[in-house]
Amino acid sequence: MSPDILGVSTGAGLGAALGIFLSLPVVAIQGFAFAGGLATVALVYAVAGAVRGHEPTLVLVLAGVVLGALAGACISLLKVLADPYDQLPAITFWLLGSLAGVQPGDIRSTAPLVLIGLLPLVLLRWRMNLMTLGDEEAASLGTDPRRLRLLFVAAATLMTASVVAISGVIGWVGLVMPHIARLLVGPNFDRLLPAAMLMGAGYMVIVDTLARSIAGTETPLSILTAFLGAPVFLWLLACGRRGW
Amino acid sequence: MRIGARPAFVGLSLLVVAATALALLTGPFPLGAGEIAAAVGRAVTGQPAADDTIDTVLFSVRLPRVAAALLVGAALSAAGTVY
Repeated sequence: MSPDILGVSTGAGLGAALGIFLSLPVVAIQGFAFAGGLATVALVYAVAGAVRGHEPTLVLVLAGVVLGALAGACISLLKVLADPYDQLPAITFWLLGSLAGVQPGDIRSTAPLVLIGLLPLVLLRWRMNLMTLGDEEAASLGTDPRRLRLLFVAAATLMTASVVAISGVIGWVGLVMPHIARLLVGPNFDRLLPAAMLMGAGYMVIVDTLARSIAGTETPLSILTAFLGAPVFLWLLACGRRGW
Repeated sequence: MRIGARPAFVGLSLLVVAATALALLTGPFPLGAGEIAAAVGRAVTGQPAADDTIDTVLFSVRLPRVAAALLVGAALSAAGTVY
């Protein structure tokens, strides 16, 4: 599923829009984006935790949709208030994603965060398999679904927020790559995670190469990933009846 | 459509390597494979840069960008498998 389901990308977009609106330096904009992504998911979790008596995953997703929409509305407000000659284009392009301004320092600051987020996913990969059985089954097999879910979501959110801070919002990668990887190596998380990561990495490199060679100027990455990803996802939906 | 794990991983790894190589060769500034290899060799062995432009384009523009693409793609896909 898209990592933005709980609003991390939209929250990061809001942080970045705020940073751009306040004419902050690039590092501060990245920091705001990172913080915005984390804060949004934390808020979603807090709201979902306050609701009792319903299917926890459903409540989480609904809270994510609502708060993501709220963050989107705040972004729109900032777009209206922003200076139309240089802030508004900056916000728009940030929300479309680009690797054009990447510095070596960005890699040095982002890679450790991604690795930290990856660590629980790798160490607990068997429990991830158990989680797909549903909360009651997973609990009966000795896991604590609530705590595991929190940990996995926190790890995934950390990874997403840290890369979105340097690249802007890039959609259709987290949504499509895992499904294709699942078709190739099956749903066992032990294989699915590395396969999806390899696939995503290669895909992103290809898309970025296209972005800087396809037209005279830089094409934002989300445009390409959407044009490539949406048809693939439709195809997956159409012939996915054989089972994920 | 499921293929064995080992061929899948080998294939995907080759894909990543090929995509990275292609990305390093692509761009408005013409960089050949030989020039890239020479520049990397010089950097690894600690010799001074023979051509500043090549080193700048390779190490300050293309390599960070390709590394960022790998990182972003891997991280977003990993996060996607969790959800």
